[in-house]
This record gives sequence, structure tokens and C-alpha cells, in this order.
Amino acid sequence: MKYDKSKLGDPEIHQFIDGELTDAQSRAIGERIANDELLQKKAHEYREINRKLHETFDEKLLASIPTRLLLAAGTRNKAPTWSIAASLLWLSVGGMLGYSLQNQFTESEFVRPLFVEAAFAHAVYVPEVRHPVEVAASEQDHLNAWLSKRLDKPIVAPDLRAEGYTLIGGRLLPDGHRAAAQFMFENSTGERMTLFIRQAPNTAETALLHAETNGLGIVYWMDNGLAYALTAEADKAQLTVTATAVYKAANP
Amino acid sequence: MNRFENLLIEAIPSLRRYAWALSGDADQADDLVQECLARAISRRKLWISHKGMRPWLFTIMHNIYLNAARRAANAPVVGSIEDYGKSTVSQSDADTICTISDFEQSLQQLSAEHRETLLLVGLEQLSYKEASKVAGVPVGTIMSRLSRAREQLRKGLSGETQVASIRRVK
Repeated sequence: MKYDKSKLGDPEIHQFIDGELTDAQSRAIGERIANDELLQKKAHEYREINRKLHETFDEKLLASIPTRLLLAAGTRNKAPTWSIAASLLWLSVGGMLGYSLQNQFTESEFVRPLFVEAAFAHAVYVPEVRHPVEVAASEQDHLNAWLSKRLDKPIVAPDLRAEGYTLIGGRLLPDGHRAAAQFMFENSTGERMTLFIRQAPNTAETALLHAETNGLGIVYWMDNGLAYALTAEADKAQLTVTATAVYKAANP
Repeated sequence: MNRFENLLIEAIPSLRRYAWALSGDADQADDLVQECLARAISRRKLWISHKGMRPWLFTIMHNIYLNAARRAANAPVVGSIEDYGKSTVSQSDADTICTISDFEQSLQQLSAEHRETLLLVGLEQLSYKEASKVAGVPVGTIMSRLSRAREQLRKGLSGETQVASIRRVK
């Protein structure tokens, strides 16, 4: 394929894609691109590169942080060798990794990777017949208010009826030394799906990421200071559709 | 815990993502991050709070990674640190199936400077001005690096140069 002019790419296309233009400039360039098939294709391909970067590397944003990095970020340790040794001693004595680190790193994300925690919580509560949830969907307002208060972020159970899933209710879960939320849904054939939500640093959004474990599919992402994981016995395509609906409900 | 420490810890996930994309190796990336955090702490008095934590950390990372890459390019003998910048496959993610995609390979074939610029803008969403401060070059250089990097990747992805993919299963 050929692009007639400027082999290196029109600088304005890059500025347009990267949000470096004023609104007026951006509108003008946007129009120029919309009216030119080649520019359009080029802009699309450049955007595709950004998308692939996120798709490939975003999982690191949601992974748990190795202890050595948390220790490296502990600025109060004037004598690093000793303090690491002391921390390790603490760990072996305390046994509870999360607990002992909490003393040193109250704001750390020292918890299991999102999809692992979500899959565990799913596996524990989904088979429940009598007590699948702590607060039923009939008290949805109370449920939302309670979880929002405990996670210190606005949490709303998404309406997934258009996707075929009805809310059963939700519960509060321990997640490292913090609180997390789980909503449970059910479709007409009795298949259950859970949405796990934990707090996340408010620094970045991720693409929708996918993991599989023990027959469960998980699509997880981070958005606006929260990390989400949607879990069900479903394949990536099905989960992605529902996850997109969850994302849209949170970003109307 | 004070504000500096909070921001530093909050920046770790983003720093790990960046270092991974830059080095092409998840394990090596965490070594880079650890070195970066250690330097950040030893230079915390130089941190200017209103300029944000992430751009500052990326600047430190620039000094660690690109200097190592440059030394590697100049030095005829290969040691340990000189491997920064190569696309190597680590053996430690034991329970995962990991595919090194064509995209990741193409990314690692960019020069370190071009890859850094693309990642700062395209992945970490820094402005051109912030990226120019991180890399220590004028904004114009950022723009030309960015367009070269994207153009090279675009050609690779549209099949103008084919790279075989490596599949690693454990």
C-alpha cells in the first residue's frame, strides 16, 4: 500500500491523535481526515498501535506488586539491608504477609492479582443455594449505598437485563487489608455471573483484559479509580460483550 | 506515610507496565523499576511536586535504561546490564502460556529512543512537552521520533516485513 506524500506521516495526524491540538484545530484536522481515505486509514492504523500497546501491557497495572518493589519504595528505611531483613523476619513471625506489610505500606496494593481474587470469590459464592448474596436485589439502593461507603467510591450495581442477566444481590468481601464488592447475576437458565470490584490507583484506564482459570473466564479492567473483574463460565467473546455493558453503565 | 511515599507506591503499577514495554522482558523490567525506585528515594529532595510523580520517575527511568542501552551499543564486550533493550524471553512466568506477538517483536526492533517516545505518548499518555522533558530533547525531536516509530510499526504490522512469532508453552 502506498501513501503519496510525507512518508514519515503528517505531523498533524499525530497531534490530532495525541490530543495536542486546540479544539478548533482538532475540528479542522478531524474534517480533513474524514474527507481523505488515505489519511483516515493512516489515523486508524496509528490509533491501532496505541490500542495494541494497551492490550499487550495493561495487565501489569492490575497485577500484584512484588514485595521487593514495595520494600524498595519504603522511604523510611535508612539502612536498607537491615530493614529488608527485619521485614522478612516480620513476615515469618507474623505469617500474614498482607498484615505485616500493611504496617509499612498502608496504601500499597499488596493483594492478589485482580482476576485471581475475583475467581476465588466467584467459586466460593456462586454454588450457594440459600445465601448466594449478603444483601438481595430487592434492597438494591441500600446495597449500593453500603458498598459505596465501604469502598469509598460510588459503586452501583449495573443493569444487565439487556444482556440477559438479572441482579441477585451483592456482598462485601475482604481483599488483602481492604474491602471489595461482589455483585451476582443470573440468567434465565440459572447460570451465574459475578462482578468483583476493588479500589485501584486513580492513575490509568486499561483495556479489557482476559484470563481463564478452572473453566472460568474472567474479563477485567481498570477505570476511574476502580478495578473490575467479570467472571462466569463463559468464553472471552461473551464476557467482553457484558463487560462492555458494565463499562458503559459506569461511563454514561 | 507521607505524600511522597504514597505517590511513589501508587506509581509502581504504571512504572512496571512502562518498564516491561520498554525492555521487552517482564523480569528485567522489575529490576529496572527497583533501581528507579531506589534512585527516586535517594533523590527525593529533587522532586518538584507540582510536576507530578510519573513524569519524574520516567525521567529517572530514561537515565537508567537509555544510558545502559547506549553503553551497550558502544561497548564491544557484552556483560550483564548490557542486555537491557533486547527482546529476551524470560523463563519465570511458570504457570502461564505466553505468546511473544509480532507486535511485541516489532516494538523491540525500534531503537530505544523511538520506543521510549512511542511509549511515553501512546501508552503513558504524556504530552509532547512532558515527553520532551523526560527524554531531554526538543518537542520537535519527540514529534519526529513519534512519527518514525509509528510508521515503522505500521509497516511491520501491515505485513511489509514479516516476523515469525514465538510461542512458549509451559
